[in-house]
Order: sequence, then C-alpha cells, then structure tokens
Amino acid sequence: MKRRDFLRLFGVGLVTFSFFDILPRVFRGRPLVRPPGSRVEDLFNAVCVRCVRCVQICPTSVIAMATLGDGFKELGTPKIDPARGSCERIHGRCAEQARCAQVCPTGAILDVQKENVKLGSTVINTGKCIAWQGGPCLTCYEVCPVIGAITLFDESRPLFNENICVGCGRCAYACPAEPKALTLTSKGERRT
Amino acid sequence: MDQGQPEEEKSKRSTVSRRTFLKLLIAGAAAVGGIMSLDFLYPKPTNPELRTVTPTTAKVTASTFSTTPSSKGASVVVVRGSASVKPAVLVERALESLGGVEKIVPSGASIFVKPNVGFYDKEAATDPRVVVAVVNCLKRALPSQIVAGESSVRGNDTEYALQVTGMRSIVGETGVEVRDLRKDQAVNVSIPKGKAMSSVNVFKTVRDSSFIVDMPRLKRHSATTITISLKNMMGTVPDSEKGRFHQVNLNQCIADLNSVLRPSLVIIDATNVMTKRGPTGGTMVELNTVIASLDPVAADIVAAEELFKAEGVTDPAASAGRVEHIQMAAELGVGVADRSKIEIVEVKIS
Repeated sequence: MKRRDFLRLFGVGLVTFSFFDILPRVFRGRPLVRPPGSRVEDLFNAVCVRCVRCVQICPTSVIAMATLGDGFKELGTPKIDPARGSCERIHGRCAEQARCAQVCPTGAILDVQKENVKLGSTVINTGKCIAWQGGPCLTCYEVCPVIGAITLFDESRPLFNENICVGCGRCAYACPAEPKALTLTSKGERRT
Repeated sequence: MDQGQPEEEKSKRSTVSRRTFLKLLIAGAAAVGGIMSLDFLYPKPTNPELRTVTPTTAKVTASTFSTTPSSKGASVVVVRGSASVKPAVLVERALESLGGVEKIVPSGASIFVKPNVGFYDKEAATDPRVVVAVVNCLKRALPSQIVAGESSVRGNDTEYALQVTGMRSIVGETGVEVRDLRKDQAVNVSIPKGKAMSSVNVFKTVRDSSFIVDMPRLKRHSATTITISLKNMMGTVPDSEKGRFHQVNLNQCIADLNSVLRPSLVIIDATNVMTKRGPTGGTMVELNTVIASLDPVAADIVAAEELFKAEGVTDPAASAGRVEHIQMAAELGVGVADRSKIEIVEVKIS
C-alpha cells in the first residue's frame, strides 16, 4: 500500500510539475527574452535569486517578473516584456550603464559594453502591420535607435534586419496596430 | 503487506486518503493561484502609461480660441538671419511683423506653449533658446498664465526627454512650467467637423487653455513627409490616442485634431532644420530662420517649401502641396493651403 500511495503521489507531483513547466513552454512556444548581459539560460536560472531588484530599478518597466505561466524553472526571474516598455541600454537612461546589471547581487545579469548588447531581434507579421496593409505608419522606423535595423521598402513599408537589430523592443512597444504586428524574440541574443 | 486487515477498512482508508489528497491538492493550487494574483506583491511599473488613462466622459467642446480661420487668405512671416543673429532677435522680428504680441495675444489669456520634445535627441527637439525667446515675448501681453507641455513619442519618457534636451532647465529659467503631459488628466473633446474621429481624448492642460502657441522644429518625417505645426499637435493627446490615429488614418486624424485644438499662433524653429530623413537621424542644415503665422496650415505650407528648398528638391512648392495632412486640414477649414492666397512677408537680418 505504502508503495502504491507513494507512486500515486509521485505521479501527481510529476503531472503538476509538467503542467507548470512543459505546458507553458509549449504554450509560449519560444524562450524568454532576458535583460541585456544575462548569463546563458541554465546558468541564469541557477544564479538568479529572484530578488526582483532589476524589475524595480528598470526605468522603463520593460523588465517584468516571470510568473508560473512562464515555467517552474523561470518563476520569479526577470524577463523582457515589450508590452510594458523598452530597453534603454542602447539609447536613453541606461546608455551609460545598465541599471539592472548594476543592482543584480549575484551576477545573473552582467554589465556588458554597448557593442555587445543584443537582447534578441524583432520579427514582423506583415499581415498585421498597418504600413504593409497600405496605411501611413512608420512608427517602428521612427523610434528605432539603431540605424539600419529597420529599412524602408518603397519608402513606406518597414523591413527588419535581424543582424543589426539589438532587440531593445522600442518598435514592439510603440507599434500602434491592434493586435501588434511586432514580436520581440530571443533570436540572435548575446548571453554571457 | 496488510493481509490481516478487513476489506472495508482497507477500502475506506484508501478512499478517504485519495479524496483528502485531492482536496488538499485543489486547495493548495487555489491558494498558490490566489496569492500569485495579489497585485501588491509585484513591483509596480514606473511607466506612467501603464496605469490606464481613463478620460472623463463629459462631452465638452473645446474652448474657443481667439483667432478664427479665414478663407480669404493668410499671412506668413519668414525671418532669415545670418549666422551671428541670435534666436531671440529672430523671434522678436517675427512677432513684430505679425502685428506685435500685444495685438496677437489677448491680455489675460491662458497660454499653452507646445514645443517639440518627442525624442531624447537635441537635434530632434525645438531649440530651447527659441522657446525662451517666445516665452519672454508672450509675457509682455500680460497673460493670466503660461504653461509649456509635451508628451513624447510612445515609449519615450517625457521627463527624461525634457531633461536631456535641456528644455526643462533652459525654459524653466523663465519661470514657466514645462509639464510632462502624461501626468495630466485626459478629457474627451468632440470634433464636430471630424472625418476620421467624432471625438478625441486630449490632455486637460491643453483643453483648458485659451491660446495655443505651437512651436515645432522643421523636420522631415517618415510617415507624414514632414512634421511641422499640425503634426506637432500630436503631443497633446495620450499614447492610446496616438495609437488610434495610426490605426484609423494618421493624416486625417491630424487634421481632425487641429480642427478642435487649433493653434492660435505658430512659431516654427527653422534655425537648424532636419533634412533627408526624420523625425530623427536626418541631416541638419543651418538656416537660422524663424517662420511665424496665425495660420498653422499656411505656416506649414511655407515651411515645408523651405525644407524642400534646403534639400535641393526640383519643385519645392509642388512637393509642399502634396503633403496629405496639410491638405486635409485645409479642407476642414483649419487654414489656407492655397499658395496663391498666402502672403509671405520676408525679413532679412544680417
């Protein structure tokens, strides 16, 4: 009996864990985007102590706390959410120094030189983009701080260069389309 | 193996333990879920736009502005100075040529000054020295108050932009408050002549003023060809409205907005203009010019022409005439876009 109960308990535990770990990953479909200068993912989750100081210090509020829906291993760690803001490490209030890296007590986020900052890159869904659908909008092009990351087709439609893009999320935040045409992904990210 | 135990007891024990276990599991999950949904446990976002801006729903028509658009014609003053001429001198001459600030601004007016501080870049913003010069002139008209304000491009922090462009400190020296409009309340204003919008949410400070002084920097713009006085008025609406403009029809919405928040006085900073690309990252050309008018549409037409001339465009007047939002504003009666009906007063200061 004891063994049976134990096995049942173990089974339930496994199912619960899977629910909070595998399903969110499947649901989300892509890895989280991390603050600039973050360690490689396994190391990051191990080193981060979930103190959320980086979440509190971020001047744009782009850093958010990962929830259970983001996965068990990721719970409480910082993630970049362009629905809330954009990363100003390249241009703006953190141009001198990344505040998140400054306050991180364990070195899960390291302060790297601007040239080495790449959080990921933005992808466009032209079906949702106002400009690609014929309307006058180039908000992404307007707000992009890196010349060449976004270029114009026919002087009216944005084209994204994932190699030059640093993944700051300004375009994704500012995109006025509903639902948004731009998604910030971790593709091409530079981790420490 | 508990072979000695009677059957009932065995099944009873396992039934109870399973049920209890499931109850505990559900209770535990509910407790965790409940705790995780408690808002106060999470750090609050510092971005003011994340707190929903709920406009008051009382329908109020915009306060009347002292100048009414004339379909007869408009007058635009273009003051050109040599490199050594200071912005204050350009501004003084411009206002003089328009009839003098005491004539243009009714005494006791509640003035709102709208500089362009959309980005963190100094080159993209109105030169603070030009704003100071205008403010000092406006004071002579004995207004009841002067407030300057802006809400930056979506995603940019207005406070930081005001700081880093020097707008806050330099204009602050005149004693005039430069407000981050994002901290202001938003109110709903109906647009009787609106073609794309029947109403719009604007910041209360602007709606409550009785005289708007629109002070853009003359620049190119990726989406609207140029950004001058009409486009500059977009800084008076909250982010959600800026987004809506793009969703509905950017050019028509700019025209609609200006039909209710019509600038009474336009002073365009053309001291250094942004050519080839804008609203940031363009090539700056020094013109040391100030363009002023009581008609924002006419001012934009003349200024656009100046910009295209500086770029070396073959037919600057034709290019200026093709700017959509200017034509749409003219159609709504915001001002005169017909070049033949615009009187240009040229002043040269060496």
